[in-house]
Amino acid sequence: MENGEESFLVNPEKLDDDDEVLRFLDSLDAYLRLRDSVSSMLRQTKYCTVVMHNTCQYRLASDGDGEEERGEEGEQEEEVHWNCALSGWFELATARHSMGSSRVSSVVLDQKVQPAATTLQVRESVSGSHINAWSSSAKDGICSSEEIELSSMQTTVKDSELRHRGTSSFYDDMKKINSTINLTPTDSDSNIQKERSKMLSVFGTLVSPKLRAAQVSFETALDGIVEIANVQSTLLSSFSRLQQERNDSS
Amino acid sequence: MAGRAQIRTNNSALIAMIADEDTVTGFLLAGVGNVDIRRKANYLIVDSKTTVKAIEDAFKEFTSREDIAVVLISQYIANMIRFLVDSYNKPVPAILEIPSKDHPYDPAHDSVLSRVRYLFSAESVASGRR
Repeated sequence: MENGEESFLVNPEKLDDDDEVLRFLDSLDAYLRLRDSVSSMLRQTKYCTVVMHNTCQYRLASDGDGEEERGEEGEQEEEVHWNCALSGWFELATARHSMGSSRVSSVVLDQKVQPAATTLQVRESVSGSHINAWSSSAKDGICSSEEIELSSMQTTVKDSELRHRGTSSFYDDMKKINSTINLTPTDSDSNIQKERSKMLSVFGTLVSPKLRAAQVSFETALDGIVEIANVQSTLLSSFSRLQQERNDSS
Repeated sequence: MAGRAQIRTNNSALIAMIADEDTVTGFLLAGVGNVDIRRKANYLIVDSKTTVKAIEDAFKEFTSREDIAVVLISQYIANMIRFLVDSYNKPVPAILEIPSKDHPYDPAHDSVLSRVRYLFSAESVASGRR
């Protein structure tokens, strides 16, 4: 054992192996953490009890800490008690409750030819593939992006007419990135709102605010998903390298 | 690196989805929906009438398309075609198993985590240190 430890200390190949192991463990940790964050974003059920007496028949049980409160106006058809913000599916369910099942369903989804408003940029990097999320205009084909480096947190702002969602920003990092990006608020915001309105118009002219909130929730979840994809790529490339080293040494 | 697939740079890759109606609707709201001139969409809505064969065909189609970078698949749907998902080993498009509103995410079934799990077994650690 002692000889093994001594060889471990002086052998540079062993140090490289440990670097690879550390990279693998770091990416695994990031992967699990992001998974948990995105799952929470899409569905946050802890400490919430929702009882909806309607056609949706949507019921969730809390973990025992939720409490039901009766409205002062008396028992209403819909009783809601929130200890946390609605997200994702719940906002969609609420929108369906207020707008009707026929208006918020897959039946209204447009089947005519349309390009995606949000696309991804894929490039090969040392640690595997790297994905940036950015949007392209369907009208004039202008594509621009702000590249946000995952490691250095440096941003390059180009003439951006369109929305960009970064790969490294998520929850805690989002504020830092917003403070370092110098955008023209009016131009980018108006284009963002235009794109969002276009998506919402599929469901009619007047849509529930909950549908708008669901849209924002899913957009945020999409940022997390892009980040998970990048971490997964790093994780799998580290894993394959470790596997290969293990096979070579055996 | 031996066996490493070539990753083509793509500036406008799509996100494909194989999920239930609510999940697909939500992500379509986020602007990922695409219908090309052949009227082929980048999503498949899975309901009780969707067959396993249709899910398999959609998975094979999305993973063979060059314009798709990420395939989102609900984990309970991935469980229906688990063999196909676990045998997939290309870097792009990336396969991400996501939870659905009725089926929370289970790390025990995640194909990526199940692949790397064996590295943490006592036997593999001991053999690596010899």
